[in-house]
Amino acid sequence: MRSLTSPLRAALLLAPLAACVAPPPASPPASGEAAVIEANRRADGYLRNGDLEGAARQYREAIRLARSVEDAEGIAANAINLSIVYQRLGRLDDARASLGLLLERGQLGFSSERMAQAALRRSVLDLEEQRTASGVEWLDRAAGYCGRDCTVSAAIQNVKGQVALDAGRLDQAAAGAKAALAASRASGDRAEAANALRVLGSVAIRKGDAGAAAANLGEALAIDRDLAAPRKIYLDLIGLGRASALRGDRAAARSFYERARAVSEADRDTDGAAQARFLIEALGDNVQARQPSPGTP
Amino acid sequence: MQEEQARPRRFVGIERKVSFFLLSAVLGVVGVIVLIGYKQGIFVRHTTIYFHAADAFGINKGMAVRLFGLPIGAVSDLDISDRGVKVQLSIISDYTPRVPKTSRARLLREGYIGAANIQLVPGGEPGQPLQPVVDGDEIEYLPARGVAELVDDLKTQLTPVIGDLRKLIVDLNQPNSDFRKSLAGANAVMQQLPDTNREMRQMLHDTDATVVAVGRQAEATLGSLGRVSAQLEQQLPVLTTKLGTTLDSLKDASTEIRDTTRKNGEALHQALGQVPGLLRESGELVRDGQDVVGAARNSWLLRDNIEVKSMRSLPVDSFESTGAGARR
Repeated sequence: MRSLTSPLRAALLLAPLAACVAPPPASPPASGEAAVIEANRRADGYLRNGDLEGAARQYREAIRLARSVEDAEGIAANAINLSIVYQRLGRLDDARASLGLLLERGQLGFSSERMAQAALRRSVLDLEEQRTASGVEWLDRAAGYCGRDCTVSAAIQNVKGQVALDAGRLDQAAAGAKAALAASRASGDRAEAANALRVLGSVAIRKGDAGAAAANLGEALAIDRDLAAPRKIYLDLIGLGRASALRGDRAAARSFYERARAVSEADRDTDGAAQARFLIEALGDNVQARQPSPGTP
Repeated sequence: MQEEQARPRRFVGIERKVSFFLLSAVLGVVGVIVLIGYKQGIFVRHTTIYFHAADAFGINKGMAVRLFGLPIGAVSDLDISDRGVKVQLSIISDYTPRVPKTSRARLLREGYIGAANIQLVPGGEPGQPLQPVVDGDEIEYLPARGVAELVDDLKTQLTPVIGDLRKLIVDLNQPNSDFRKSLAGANAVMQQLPDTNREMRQMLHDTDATVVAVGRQAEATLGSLGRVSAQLEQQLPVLTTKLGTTLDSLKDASTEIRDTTRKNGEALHQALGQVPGLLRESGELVRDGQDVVGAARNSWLLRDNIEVKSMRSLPVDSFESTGAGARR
């Protein structure tokens, strides 16, 4: 019994010493900053439950709290988040106003990373409203703010590629997407890598290169399925259907369009489902149109 | 005259020394007064604002006024007015740019047993220009919901339930209630069972006599029937005795059921009387548990395994620049 109790006693004596070598507790955030984080987390919870209005309300509260203690990082993070939520609600003017906290000249200094994110978000908002000139201008400002280790450099290149694609400048679009792909792979940003591959796939379709399009879009589809992004999966499948139709494989094209329709219906995207249905019907008409009429040799 | 002229050398310049001593004493007293005044903040510029509260329970003169946890002033005066109690706050003027006119005051306690203080909550929408308070401004007061009020809410919600249960028990105990009538009916049936038993015995006895009489008349021809009758005569009393015992047991059981029901009703009544106390104690237990968990979270064994809360930024996705992506 004595032989057992001695090691036990030694272990009990050593336990307080073990506490001494433990690292000191991380200093808790200041009360003002903790309140900002709390509001930010509540907004995140609303967002995950699909309650965009609730999320916007909590982000506004987080910004108010951050402004009351001049927490520049808190203001920037929550203002950018709020602009994303407003854009999803279709309130583009409000989204722009929330970015104004960073982009309009003020007394507080924000990091160049946050300024780059805000400028990119502003560019995205302008491009959505077809204000291409303003969008490109803000895109250039975002690139100017973006330093060496900037986390949004891939996104900036992707938006440049998308703008060039919309303008029909296929070579510039491909160059932007390739730069975005390289940057996103270097930083491990899989979402932007998939976006770049999708742009490259669209460029290849426009150029008539069905093989390259299928390869790029197939890779994008695999990433988007991993990231569980239904709208992106839908667009990948539509692109793959077009690539299949381009090389004359109408059965494969129909299969991709059917999958796109199923995805959009499950995602309650009525516009997407209608477009997929239209493409399926158009494919059917084309098949019938290409059938030889009776009596034709 | 010669004695006055021969003043000892140690008294030479005594007036100057005494004056210097008195002057230093006066300066010392003045210095102490100034130091106390400085510590009391009389050299700091203050701005006086006020609010009206329905009552001043928990609010004291001199109580700290805090903004985001920082002490920025104190309660300077309390006075009864037409709108309840006028509470005057004296705020250090350096902090007034942080206190907009839309601010609200509320009584807050540091923890459940900590010191109470007045907390100022800045109001207004983000992005809107905020006008700071000036001397003599009135701000809004948010009455605090204390633990007592929360318990009162709980009590208000539980009172109807407890009342219904009490009513149910009273109904059960009323002599004219359906339950009592059912029990009385069952009891009456049980009490009639011995009479029924007696009548059955009498009937069996009559039957026995009849059989004996018939046996006498037809003894020769019904000998076998006589033997059966005799056997029946032997067995029936045993059976009737057993039946009587069973019926007596049933009566006892019904009495026990009635007593048990009454005891259970009383026990339930006592248990319901203890519910509010138990709820209070469970509330304290939960708070103690939260304190223990909070302390455990900060201990060196657990704190490294608990995620520290941090700000979450949504990803800035270029996909949202496309018309297809922006709607999602």
